Parts: sequence; C-alpha cells; structure tokens
Amino acid sequence: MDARKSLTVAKYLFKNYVLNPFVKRFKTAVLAFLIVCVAAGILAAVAFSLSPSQPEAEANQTGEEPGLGWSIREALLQAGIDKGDAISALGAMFALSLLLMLTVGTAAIRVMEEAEYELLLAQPMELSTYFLGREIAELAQMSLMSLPYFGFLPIAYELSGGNMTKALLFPVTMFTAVAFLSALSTLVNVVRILAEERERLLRLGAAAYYSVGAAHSLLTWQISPLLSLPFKPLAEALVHCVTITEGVREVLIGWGLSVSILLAIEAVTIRLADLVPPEFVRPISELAREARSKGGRKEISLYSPDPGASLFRFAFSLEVLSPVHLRNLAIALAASGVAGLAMLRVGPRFGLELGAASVAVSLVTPLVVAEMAIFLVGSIMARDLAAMWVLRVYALDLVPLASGLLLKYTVYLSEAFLVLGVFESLIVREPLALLQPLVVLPITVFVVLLLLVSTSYLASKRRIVRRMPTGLYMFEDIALLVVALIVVPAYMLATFLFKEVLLPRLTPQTTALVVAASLGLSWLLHEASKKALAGAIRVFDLAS
Amino acid sequence: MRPIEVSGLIKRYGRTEALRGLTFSVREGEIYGLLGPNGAGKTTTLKILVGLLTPDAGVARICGHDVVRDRVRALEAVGYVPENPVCFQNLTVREFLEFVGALRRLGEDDVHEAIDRYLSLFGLSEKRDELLGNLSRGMIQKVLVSAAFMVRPRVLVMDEPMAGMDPEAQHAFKEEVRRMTSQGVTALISSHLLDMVERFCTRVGIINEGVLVAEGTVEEVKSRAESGEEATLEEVFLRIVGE
Ligand SMILES: Nc1ncnc2c1ncn2[C@@H]1O[C@H](COP(=O)(O)OP(=O)(O)OP(=O)(O)O)[C@@H](O)[C@H]1O
Ligand SMILES: [Mg+2]
Repeated sequence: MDARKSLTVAKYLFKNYVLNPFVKRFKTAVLAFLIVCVAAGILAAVAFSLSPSQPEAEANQTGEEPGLGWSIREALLQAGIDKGDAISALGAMFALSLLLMLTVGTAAIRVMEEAEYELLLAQPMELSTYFLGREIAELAQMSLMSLPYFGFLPIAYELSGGNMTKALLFPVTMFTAVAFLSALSTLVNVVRILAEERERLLRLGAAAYYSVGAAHSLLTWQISPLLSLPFKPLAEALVHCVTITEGVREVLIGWGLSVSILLAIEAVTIRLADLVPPEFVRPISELAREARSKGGRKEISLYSPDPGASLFRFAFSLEVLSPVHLRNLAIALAASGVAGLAMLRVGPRFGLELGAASVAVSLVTPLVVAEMAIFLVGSIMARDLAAMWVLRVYALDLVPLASGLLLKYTVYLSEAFLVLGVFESLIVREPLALLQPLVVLPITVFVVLLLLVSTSYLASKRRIVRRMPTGLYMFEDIALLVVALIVVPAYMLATFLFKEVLLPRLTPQTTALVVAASLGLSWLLHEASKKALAGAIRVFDLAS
Repeated sequence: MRPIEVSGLIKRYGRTEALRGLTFSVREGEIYGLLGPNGAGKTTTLKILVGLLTPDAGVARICGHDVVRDRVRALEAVGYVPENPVCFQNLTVREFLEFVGALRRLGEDDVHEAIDRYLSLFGLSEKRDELLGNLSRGMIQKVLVSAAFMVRPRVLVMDEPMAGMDPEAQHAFKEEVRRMTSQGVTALISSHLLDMVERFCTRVGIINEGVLVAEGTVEEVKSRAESGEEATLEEVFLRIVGE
C-alpha cells in the first residue's frame, strides 16, 4: 500500500464527485444552505439555552407548559417505547441493514463513474492503495453531507433536557453512524467477493443467524440481543444524545466504541483489498442495467400503428403490467396481510396496544410513501428519461409519454399505500382503511407531477443522464429534500384528514360519493398534468 | 524477455469463453496490430494486460513482470487507452492529466510541460480548463491518448485509439507513436481500420474466437493466406477469419 498515492486518489475523487460538480458550480446557493443549517441550529440552540422559560424536566412534572421535547417523549412513552426499546430497535435496524448488505444484490465494489475502474485501476497501484483513497474521499464527502444534521440541534437540545454538549455531539454521532454503515457495506462486499462460490453459504449462514434472532425475538416479544447487540454502542450513542439521564460521558463511551469499530472495519477492508480482483470494481450504471435485464423481459408488444399508443405502452404498460411487477405486488400484499394477522393474534397476548400500533402505522405510512417517491427519482432518470433523445427525435407528441409516466408512478405510490393499508385495516379491523389510496389519489397525482417535473428539471441540468442512474449528486439530494418538505406534510395532512375526519363519518352513500369525487378529481388533475409535464419536458429541452 | 508476453490466456465470462489459450508476444520497438472481428477477444486481452481483468488461466507479462502478481511494477511501464471514451465527468482536462501524473510520480514541471505539449499537439490547448464531461467523444479520446503518452511508458496498450479522431489528430497520433517506438517504446494496438493498420503497424496478429489465427508482418500474413501481394489486408482478413 502506498499512502501518498491514496491521498492523491482521495483528492481527485473528492474533486470529481463533490468539489467540482457541487461546491464550485453552485457555490453560493449550496454553501449558503449548509451554513444556514449549521448557523440556524446553533443559534436556535443557544437561544433556547438562554431563554428563561426553558422547559426543565421538573417544570414539566409540575404540569406547566410542556415543551416540544417533552411532548415527543410523552408520545413515545404512550406508544410503549422507552429508551431501552429505542436502543434495541435502532440496533435491530442496523442489523437489518447488515442482513440486506449480505444478501441483496450483486457482490461488487460500486463506483459512480466507469472511469474509476477503467482509468484509475489501470494505473500502477495496489488495490489497497485505491481502497484507502476511496474510503478517505468517501469520509470527506459524508462529513460534508452531515452538516445539515446541525439543523437538528434545537430538537436534540430540547430532548436532552438542555444539554448543549450532548446536543452538539448529536450531528457528530449521526455522521459516525452514516460512515459506519458505509464502511460496513464496503467490507461486506469485499467479503462476499472473496467468498466466491461460497457466497451462497455466506448468505445462507446470514439468513440462518437472522432467522434465529427473529424467532428469539418473537418468543420473548422483545428484540433479541442476537440482533441488536452487535450495533449496540452505535445505537446507544445516538439515543443517549437525546435522553435526559445519561451524561456526556455515556455518549462519549458509545461514540468512542463506534469509532474504534469503524476504524477496525476500515483496516480490515484495506487489508483484504489486495485480494479483490479489480473487475469487481463496477460502475453502478452497469449494475443497474444488469439487474434490469435479469428481471426478465416482458411479453408486451410495443408496436402499434398509433405512435402515441406505443409511447404510452413504453412508459406505462411495459413495467406496470409486467409479470415481475405483478408478482412483487402480490408478494408485498401477502406479506403485509400475514404481518397484520400475526400482529392481531400475538400482539394482545403480549400486552401490545393495537391502537398504538395503528397510530404508529398512520404516522409511518406517509413517510414511507414519500420516501419511496424520492427514491423513485433515480429510477425515473435511469429508465424513463434516459432514452429521451430517441423520443425527442421521433415522437412529436410527448403527451402520451407524460400520461404514461404519470400513471405509472401514481400506480406505484398507490400500491405502496395499499400494501400498508392491508396491514392497518387488519389490525384496526376496519376494511374501509383500504380506501385510503383512493381517497388520497388526487394528492398522489399531484405529488407525481411534482416529482416528474423536478426530476426532468434536474435531468436537464446534468450533462449525461445515462452515466448516473442511481447515484445522485449532492445538489440533487438537496433539491429532493425540498420536494420532500412538500410531499411529506401533504401526505401527513391527507392521512390525518382521512383517518380522523372522514373514516368515522363514512356511510355507504358518503363512501361512494367520496371515492367518486376523488377519482373524478384525480382524472381531471391527470388530464391537466399530462399536458403540463409534456410542456415542461419540452421547455427544459430535455434530450438526455 | 520481451516487453509484452502473453501465454495460454484463458478468460471466461460466465459461459462465454472469450479467450481460449491465447499466446503471443511483442518485441521492443514494434507497433503490433491486434486484429479480429467483433467479439474476438481483443478488448479482453488488452484489459488483462493492464490489470483490469484477471485471467482464469495463463500469464500476461509486461517487461517481465506478471501483471497479476506484480501489478504495480508491471503497470508502471504501461500507458493505456481504453476502448470507450470514459472519463471523470467533473474533472477538468488539466486536473485529470495532473491526477495521472501524480499517480506516476512525475515531477510537477514535467507534468505541466507534457500537458502543454500534448494538448497543443492535438489542438486542445483552449480546452485545458474545460470539464471532461463537456467535451466531445473525439476530444475525450485525445485526452486519454495524451494521458497514455504523458506517463513516459515503455509499453503502450491502446484499444482502438483512433476511434472518433479527426484525420489531423490521427496523423499526429501516428507520428508520435512512431517517434516513441523509434526510441524503444513498444506499442500494442487493437483496431478495425485495416488499411490504417496495413501502413502503420510493423507486425499484426489476427485473433478469432479467443485464439491467434495468424501472425507476422503484413506481407507474411498475406502470403500465408495465399492471397498474393496485391490483395488488401481486408481481403486477407476476411479470408483468414472465414476459414
Ligand atoms: N463483461 C462481459 N460480460 C460477458 N461477456 C463479455 C463481457 N465482455 C466481453 N464479453 C464477451 O467476450 C467476448 C470477447 O469480447 P471483447 O470485448 O474482448 O471483443 P473485441 O474483440 O474487443 O470486440 P470489438 O471488436 O467489438 O471491440 C465476446 O463474445 C463478448 O460478448
Ligand atoms: Mg473491443
């Protein structure tokens, strides 16, 4: 290994992925955003700490004007979640992501640009040299991306009962967590690559271990330490940042442990790197292409004498009506149903409040769907906008394309609602909850329009769409954050209205009325949106 | 010891056997043209030579160093031009060339001198501070060739290096390769442009379905294919590959 060359690699990778496309180009806008995040966080926290009516723990106990932190805490406690639960849940979440790393996808070292393989690895250096450089660049990138976590300072300050040091440790711990997961993922991929034919065994072993963990959790109705223990220090550090009783010392212990483990992971990765054959360093665009072709080609003919119909089929039918998609939907619905039934049967026996679970689901549903919407952006760029130039050259009318795209993503988001709705309607024994996707349909259409327009806009701003199917530049991440700021509250509000206002008042007549109104409105919106979207694509001069 | 030695190379991609025991070598100062139809295994061979692919069997040596076992030493001698014009989209031309120079431990002055020289050779001097992602395909190709020339290689490995280049640049490219080989550099070039190869390469190897089917000077290959002196390399090529 050659540390000096590693530094060179890190320097230019950072330049290529962060400095030039992001910091340099959108200098003022984005730097300002970051600075505002940090400054606002610190200022707000300072303001809180100086304000005389600061919500102290004792003040709340006497019942005077509970602060935000306190109400969140109350809400969590009422849902039956305490500190210990939070730690093991977080630990289990990390464990789950490890399971995914171990079992999902192709074993490969993913790089954003093909040049990182084709040009960089043909230079005289060992793979360990390259890995070290790459990890340094990634850490630098993640630390920059972690600056917005300072925006959470006031909340962390509130929650920790006014401990400024702990509040300041929160962004640092978040960064550590992100770095930890990223490093772990690299290591897991290296191990999977080196396992070669035994990779299957590795996956089976992981699956077996996690099954035992899951079974143990079900038996005791508690998250098994088998699952949560390996990630306990990290989870503890994160949770202790926002608790009252633990001091700075506890946070530092958890954090220090996590950092040591992180460093150990990096060291092992770099040790093993020289054994990795270079061809396993692969651009994500190639991996995405491969995954798609593995998905099995569908038997839908694209040909039609009407070019508009062909275009619509290309955008909509080809994917939505494909056997793979229908199968996945069926699996998801079945899994959700089984989970709901299991919850219904075992939940009460262990004193689990189904009402609280339902509240949790209502809170989570819009978040999940909004999250998914954001996630879809990568796929929109890769699949739907990648071949744009062909369409621009041959198809004069983009409206059928716009219509197909709108419909496709509306269907996807509605399906997500449906899947979560099945679970919920089972545990609250309210079949009408299944209507939610229909009732929020107009919002979904609007959200999809917003997503597609902003994605087209983003795509028109980058020079070569094809090169980065899933990897987004940071600028784009931030733009999406803004979209999320619109999407999440919209869905939250809609869910709330549906659950609290509409559902209790539904009679058969009003149900029909509401559904009809919603469908009609959605149709109108769709008609208006497809023209708007086609226009937007034209205006942005999107030609991939 | 020859600058490029390849023996018994086997490479499989899943079930496709791209190379099936390929053996050949290139002498110092030669311009060796590797010819073959699409899918013959040219790119695979070249990628093995520059350590991007690991062969399933066989050895590839650059200046006596096994590219798998002695990766760094072998690659220190190599300048490589990939088949596709890949590039770091968000580095400028100069940054990219400086990057390559830094990885080769060239002195700063040497790097800047080389950058000036090759950019003006290919008429890219104005583009030096342009992002690579903003360049045309042919321009990227010129930058990649400059990077390969710049590192003071003893061996040039180039996969269809003239693809996308305008005639002027092709001429400059050939002149520079000739100059370098006259000073003892060895060049291995894969190409489709048969008439170009005919006048440019000192020796050619024809590869088909992963094995070498003919080798020698252009004249030797022609006579082996019994097609007479006046046949073009194209006719010879079609004949050999068609066998
Ligand atoms: N990544 C890969 N995965 C699977 N098969 C591959 C891969 N790369 C090449 N092949 C197969 O290996 C064989 C040789 O390919 P190679 O790219 O070496 O040919 P080539 O001589 O360079 O062709 P061309 O003249 O078209 O550039 C082909 O049959 C090709 O399909
Ligand atoms: Mg090729």
